[in-house]
Amino acid sequence: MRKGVAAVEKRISYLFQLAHLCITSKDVDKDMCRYHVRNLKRISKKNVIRLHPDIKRKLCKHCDLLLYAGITAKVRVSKRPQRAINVQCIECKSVKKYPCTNPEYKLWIEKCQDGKE
Amino acid sequence: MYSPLNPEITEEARKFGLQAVKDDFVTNFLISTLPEKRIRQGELENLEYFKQNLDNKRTRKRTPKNFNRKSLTSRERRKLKLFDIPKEGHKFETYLPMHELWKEYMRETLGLTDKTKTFDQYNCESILKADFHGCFLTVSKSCCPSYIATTGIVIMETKNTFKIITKQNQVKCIPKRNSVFMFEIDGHYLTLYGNNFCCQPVLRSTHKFKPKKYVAL
Repeated sequence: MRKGVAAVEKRISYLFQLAHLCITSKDVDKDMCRYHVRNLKRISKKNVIRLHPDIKRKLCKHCDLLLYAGITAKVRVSKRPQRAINVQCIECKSVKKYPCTNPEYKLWIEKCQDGKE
Repeated sequence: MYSPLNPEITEEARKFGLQAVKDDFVTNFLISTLPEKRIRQGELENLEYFKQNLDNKRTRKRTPKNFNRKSLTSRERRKLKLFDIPKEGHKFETYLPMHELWKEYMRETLGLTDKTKTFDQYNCESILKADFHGCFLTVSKSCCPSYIATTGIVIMETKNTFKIITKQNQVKCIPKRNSVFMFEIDGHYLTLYGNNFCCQPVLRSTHKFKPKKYVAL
């Protein structure tokens, strides 16, 4: 592992928790959430750290919001034109599609872990 | 369609010798210039339709350019006014859970949770790469006497300033130059010299800090 990466990874996870706080608290503050997520993305780019896909799936690519089902995101299931789960950001209306055509699809990370075991 | 001009203007125009343009100007111009064949075929009637359209203009719906681009441009970001913190309407209590999270984060980075390790000066290098959103700072020394003894939780950090919310629900913007900050964890007091700290929070994680001379304030 490279030197000093552990400190930056902690910082990234801390910023992610802060973004969660901004949305789940009583006063929903979407601007602060975007501020923290934007810092998160810039730090990971600057230090060349690959984010876990679970983190990436919760962030909107266009407007940097935390996608929280019900509060900031619309989760819908579609049959046509493709069987998929669609997650739409309420603010910027950009869509993330997760198609379920192949039930045996595995992410790269999951394949690695299975291979090691 | 248009209201007539003021009578004063028409009087002055008459002095210069100007005359008002008649509505039939376009048809007369076309009759004089177009060849006879085209007039016989009835092109004048078609051209009248185009003449009227200049006034009744339909605006097209402009679709936003490059909507499928992955991130916002800086112009769009400025329009949304995302990172402007309003001066009123924020309460100190909403940021207390942020402070609790920050304490746990700081204990992990400094190594205070490991009971085997002792708290040395050498642990403090990790502070340079750490995040300060949610820290309870106080200004202990500064060149400007009005900044001294302001305390509060850090909301935002920029290249040259800290934005702090005080217990009286006020948002204050304190520059880093020529001021010394202090914060406390578990009984340990740590000082930050603002002069050496002027850097964007994101770039601080890779920045190599040069040793600067300390000038007593």
